[in-house]
Amino acid sequence: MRMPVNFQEKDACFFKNTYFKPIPLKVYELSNTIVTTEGICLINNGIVKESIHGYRDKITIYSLMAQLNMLKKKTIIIDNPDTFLLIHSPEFGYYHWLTESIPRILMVKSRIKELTLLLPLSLKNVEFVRESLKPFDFKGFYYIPDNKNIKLRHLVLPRIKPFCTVYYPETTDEIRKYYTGFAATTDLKHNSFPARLFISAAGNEKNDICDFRSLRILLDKYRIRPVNLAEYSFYEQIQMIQRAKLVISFTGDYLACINFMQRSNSILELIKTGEETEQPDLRFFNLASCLGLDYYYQFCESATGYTGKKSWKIKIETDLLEMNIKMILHN
Amino acid sequence: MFSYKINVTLPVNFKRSDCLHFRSEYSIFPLKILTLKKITATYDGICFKNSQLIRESVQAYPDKIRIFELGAQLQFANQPFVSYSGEKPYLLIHHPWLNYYHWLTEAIPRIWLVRNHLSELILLLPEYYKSVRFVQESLKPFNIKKTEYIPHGCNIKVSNAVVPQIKPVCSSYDPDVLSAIRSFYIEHAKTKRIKTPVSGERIYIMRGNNPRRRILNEERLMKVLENHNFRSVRAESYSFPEQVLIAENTTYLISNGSGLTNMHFMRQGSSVMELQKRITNMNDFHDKVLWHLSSALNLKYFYFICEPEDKEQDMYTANLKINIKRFEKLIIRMLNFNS
Repeated sequence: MRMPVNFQEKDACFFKNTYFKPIPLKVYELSNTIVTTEGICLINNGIVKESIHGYRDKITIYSLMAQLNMLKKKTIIIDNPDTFLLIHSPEFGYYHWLTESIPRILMVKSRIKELTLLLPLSLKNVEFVRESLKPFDFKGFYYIPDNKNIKLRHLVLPRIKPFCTVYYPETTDEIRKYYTGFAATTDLKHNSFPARLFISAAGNEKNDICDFRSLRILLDKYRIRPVNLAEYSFYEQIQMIQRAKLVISFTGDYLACINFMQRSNSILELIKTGEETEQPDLRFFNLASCLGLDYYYQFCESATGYTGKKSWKIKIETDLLEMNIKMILHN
Repeated sequence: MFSYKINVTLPVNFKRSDCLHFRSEYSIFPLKILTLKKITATYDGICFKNSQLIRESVQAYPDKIRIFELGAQLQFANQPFVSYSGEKPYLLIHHPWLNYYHWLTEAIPRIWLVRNHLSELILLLPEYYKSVRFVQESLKPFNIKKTEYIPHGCNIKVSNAVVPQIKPVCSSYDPDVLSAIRSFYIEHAKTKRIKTPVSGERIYIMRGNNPRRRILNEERLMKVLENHNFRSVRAESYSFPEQVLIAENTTYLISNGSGLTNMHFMRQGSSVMELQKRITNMNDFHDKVLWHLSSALNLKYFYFICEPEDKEQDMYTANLKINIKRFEKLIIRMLNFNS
């Protein structure tokens, strides 16, 4: 692991990463399996652990969820010789999709044409899901109806990454190449993008910044453009991030977009410190390290504490931010 | 709602490089007493009103809440219900996590909250609590007029219920409540003229035959402890009031896990040492429940980090191996520190 460029010894514990141990991910071929809407796979009423995360409490949650699904929901038997592909899991969002589901597709890319992709019906119209699947030439799609399980004859199950913070450099690199290559061939509404970005918000995640005016003055001074990713299409986002030399952003699901940045460009993560957890969230530090990005960090105090509604009021020390920006630009 | 700030005293042998991810203080809020009509609850104490989880009946960890909700749905779907109706309200203080630690630091404080109304309440407990010795013996001093037991595995419907709120965060404690409960039990043991069965101010509580979190080289460890005048005891060999008095007379207490809960009854300024597992996998974390308990009780807290037998096993299951040389150094430091 590469330590942050602006690493300070006092923060050593935050970035301590000694449990980072990737295990080889395999592709499993399974017969007569049941798949729940959430993507939990069962054989003989037992949960297939390769279909879910490896966190202790999550395993319990998914096991209970699967048992309840089997008890309360109807199971549709798909009497069809097709081979189905399972890549979704109960954790859904831009981050999980890009760093967990897409890698599972790439694990079977050589045989995509013979596979029917399983997805819950609820994801059919999610823009980033639909767009990110465009480059893949699946045999077909099967949407699992809400509140139903399905029973399949043949299933291909690429194992999910058991822990979010563990990445595989060859996979993250492949995603970057695959999508930036595809985005280059796509017609876009916007095609002029700034080199320095401040990602202010995306989707449902909202950060309310104390004294945004001072921040804006500072960003303008260094020609850093605030952007809301939700205003751009999936492939515009890719082109924008790919061309960015510097991305500044709060920790948030949408920060998974750094997967499209070019090696050696810079990311400054604004890390909220609050009441919600005592364990550091290393998802983006590890991802940046894996992608060969220059990673910088700045801790920002929450003015209100965690409200439990993905809504924060955050203080940014603008003097410190300016120092960090200067360091990045100097480097 | 007003809150109190509780300061956390650092472990005596605290090393920044151990990365304990701690806070120097935390907030506690006054716990509520809910008086409710027509509630349902699982056998293990997860309560619902109009199909909504009663948050005060479970801890406030989001993943645990999800587990309790899903687990309850399954239990409600699979197990029969028994109804409890009558004029007197039923008191519910139990929770799915029953062990000595959770009982003493979470269930007992819930009874404590309603201690002045116990004559008007019927305590409702799962059937298997009948045979849990520490449960029965720790309830005796409260002089509860009536206890009823829920038939094994059954859910319950209760027409009048009193649900004192459970402490939402395990590692947060109210020092005043701890102190009051401590005095209550010590006084009770003394009033009953219970004799301290073990004399000696240095105690190691053995893990013994417990299949989980065993100390693999416990015999060697005990030998070293014996050289420093420690006595090794099995907590379960003694009645609850005897354990209270043993702890009250102990100045140095060493153990891992639940065995250290008896620090609750030690005198202020005494020392405890917790044997902790080194973090070796993604499911591990430094548990602060015993550290914060000792801090709230004004005890000196030492920790000793041990290697697990199997790095893939988490802190709740892994067997531990003690580095005897390092351990002895810390023992000497602990003994010298107090003297």
